[in-house]
Amino acid sequence: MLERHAATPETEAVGRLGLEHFRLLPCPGFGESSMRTSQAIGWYKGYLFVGTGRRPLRPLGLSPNALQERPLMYQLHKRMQAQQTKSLEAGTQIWRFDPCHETWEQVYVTPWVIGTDGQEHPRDRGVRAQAVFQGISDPEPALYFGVGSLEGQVVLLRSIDAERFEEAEEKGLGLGPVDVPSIRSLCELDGRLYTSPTGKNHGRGLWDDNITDFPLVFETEDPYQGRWRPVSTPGFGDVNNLSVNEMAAFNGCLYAGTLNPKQGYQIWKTEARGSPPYQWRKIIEDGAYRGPASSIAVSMQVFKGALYVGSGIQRQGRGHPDTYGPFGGELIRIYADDTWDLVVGKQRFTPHGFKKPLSGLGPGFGDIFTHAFWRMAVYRGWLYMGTSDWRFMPTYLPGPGHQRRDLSESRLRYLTERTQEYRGGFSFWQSRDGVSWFPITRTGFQGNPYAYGIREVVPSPRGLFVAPTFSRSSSWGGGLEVWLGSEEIAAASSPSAL
Amino acid sequence: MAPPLFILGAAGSLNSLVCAMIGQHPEMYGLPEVNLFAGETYQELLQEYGFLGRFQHGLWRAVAQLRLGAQTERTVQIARSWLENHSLVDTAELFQAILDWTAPRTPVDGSRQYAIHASALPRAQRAFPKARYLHLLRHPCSALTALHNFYTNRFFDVEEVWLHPHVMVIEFLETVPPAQHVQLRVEDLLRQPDLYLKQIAEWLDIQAENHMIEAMKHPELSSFADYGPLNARFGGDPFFLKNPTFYAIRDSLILEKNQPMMDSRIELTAETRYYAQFFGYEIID
Repeated sequence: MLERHAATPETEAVGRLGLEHFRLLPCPGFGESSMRTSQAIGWYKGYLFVGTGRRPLRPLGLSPNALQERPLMYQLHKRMQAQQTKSLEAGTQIWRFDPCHETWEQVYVTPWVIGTDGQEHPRDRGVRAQAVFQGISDPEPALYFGVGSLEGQVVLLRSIDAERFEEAEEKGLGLGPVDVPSIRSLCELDGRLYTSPTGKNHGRGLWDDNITDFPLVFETEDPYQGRWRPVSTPGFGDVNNLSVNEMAAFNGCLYAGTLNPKQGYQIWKTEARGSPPYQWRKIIEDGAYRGPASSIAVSMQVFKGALYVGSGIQRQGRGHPDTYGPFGGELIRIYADDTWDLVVGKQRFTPHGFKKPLSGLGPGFGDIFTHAFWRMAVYRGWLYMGTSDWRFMPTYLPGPGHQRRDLSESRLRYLTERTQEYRGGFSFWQSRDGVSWFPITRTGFQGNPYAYGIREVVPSPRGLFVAPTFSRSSSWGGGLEVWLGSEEIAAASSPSAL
Repeated sequence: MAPPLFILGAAGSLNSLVCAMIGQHPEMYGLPEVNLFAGETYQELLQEYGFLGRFQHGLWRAVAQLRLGAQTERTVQIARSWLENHSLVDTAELFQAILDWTAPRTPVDGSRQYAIHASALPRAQRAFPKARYLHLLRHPCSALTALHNFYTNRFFDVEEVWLHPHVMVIEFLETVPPAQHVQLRVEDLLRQPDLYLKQIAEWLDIQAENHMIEAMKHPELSSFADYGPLNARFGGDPFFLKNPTFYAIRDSLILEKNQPMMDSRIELTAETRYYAQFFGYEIID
């Protein structure tokens, strides 16, 4: 039985990982390329599968037409092109890590195609979603990856032998020749797989990474054959819901979190029964009554009888809410009866009563620059939260076409100085009861200065795999890393073990 | 003794109403606008407001009421003399005296000058590190329309009157422990007083029995819910002094879901629009 409001100190060290428990798993294949992140990692048949993500083709991911309209960006693009050789232009890859032999092997690489600029490019930019799922056409539980395209449509990859990947039918969820380049979430409920489009290639590039022309939830019983069908109305009937960004199954229901920059994120819930579109019920609105400072539901995780939802503000570029702030991310937990508590965040009055953070911690775990609660995972009875630091791309500071006339000089100076002193890194937290939180690190894994957040956290029998994400590709000093956290690591390196 | 409660809002945010409402709780005491922390000493306040005597009316009325038990021209005159005799005393000490006089009730101070003078809130925080702050919000169009209507068609700069005070409050509250401050949209309070008054009571850690909540809906019973004697007429939002009844004020406002009373001549800057959205207000394009 969940103790809803108990804030009992949780100081037991059992199963708790510290920074000393983590070690880098070096992969030679990650070096010297355009790779800089992994947004999808999966554990399957005793291996870790890492889907890679690369930087966009052009600065900020702008389309060729958009680039022509921005002379500065065009010049930057030309400079980058001159320095980039084809051998460094990696597209999506999938790497397999064998924990028994500590070896890496590339098991998939995207094909190259002629792009809209007439140049040859890798077809895909990165893997953004994964799930282990057995559909009608799958002889056994299969590993699925949702592969985001650089210029075309999302493709699902399937593996059933942990060796080879094959493309599923129906690119772009079968929607035809439309702009559906990627998905962020694959979620199973009662033998069906759910997803939703996220991202646009024909708009403003990276700034549109989490919006879509199709903010709908799709369902299939057979992802290998495609057969996706919409099971919600667009944006759940709210034009301000720009995408369905994250999903989770909890207590026999499907939960979907939206991006809503005007009012704050929403959480919708369905039992997924009857004929589509299903009956959906809104259980969280207005960013849990914080408003647009919590514009997007970023992460969801079921833990000890509740659904935890991490939020943040979506970066959308100049002229959007993220040019204000900074605002720290928040964490709420939702119970099966649709009531909820604020776990980390700003206390407030709401139509559902006074909400004060059970953890006692304000937004961003008390750090206003920790802007997104990006990824959660449960490992050995502990809930882990990987976050993202806003300072690597300080959209809240004045810039071309954007002033902060609202702020006092002292506030602006403070924000500028705190941003200038940033040397990379992120915070990573853990909790055994969801209420008392402990930092594993507040400065990252103390390695590469371009690491700014944790994009994936995956539990396994071998330990907790963690993938930081980088602001620069490996050929520009950043890269892609995978770390493994395990109690055995510290024990093996302790003096008594020598 | 519990630390004081300050209500921080921009002009037209109905500070006086909310101050009087919370002050009607038996554990709280609603002050008029004493504006004490707008200066380091009473002498500094006199220099600041000497030409605008009405900004001192609240302080004179508070001292008259709390020290002498009545607000008459005579008691106000005595209160002024007392203050002048203490003109070099820190305003923090004067406020401590008010705390002592209101004890065991906790004072509520809704002085609007605190959201205008940059030094006021840090001064209050230094004096009372555990003070609580209720950041009171109102839709910018509603606030400006109310000001415009009350001051007979005088127009106000939305950034000066609404945006800058709120930003100043937000920046100040960044320096205060999170548990000591909370935001409230006055529209929510007016629409569902029971729901939000109970939450305010919970936050302040005071009792929330029904008769106490009911008392809070009668700000007109406050000692300062009317014009004062001739030598101290004001001491609060003139709009409130004219209409101190919660229900009368509520009924006079349009309370669609977070939408404003609209005066089409009010134009909002981009910054104001974003802050209004962050506060949960809908902006009609």
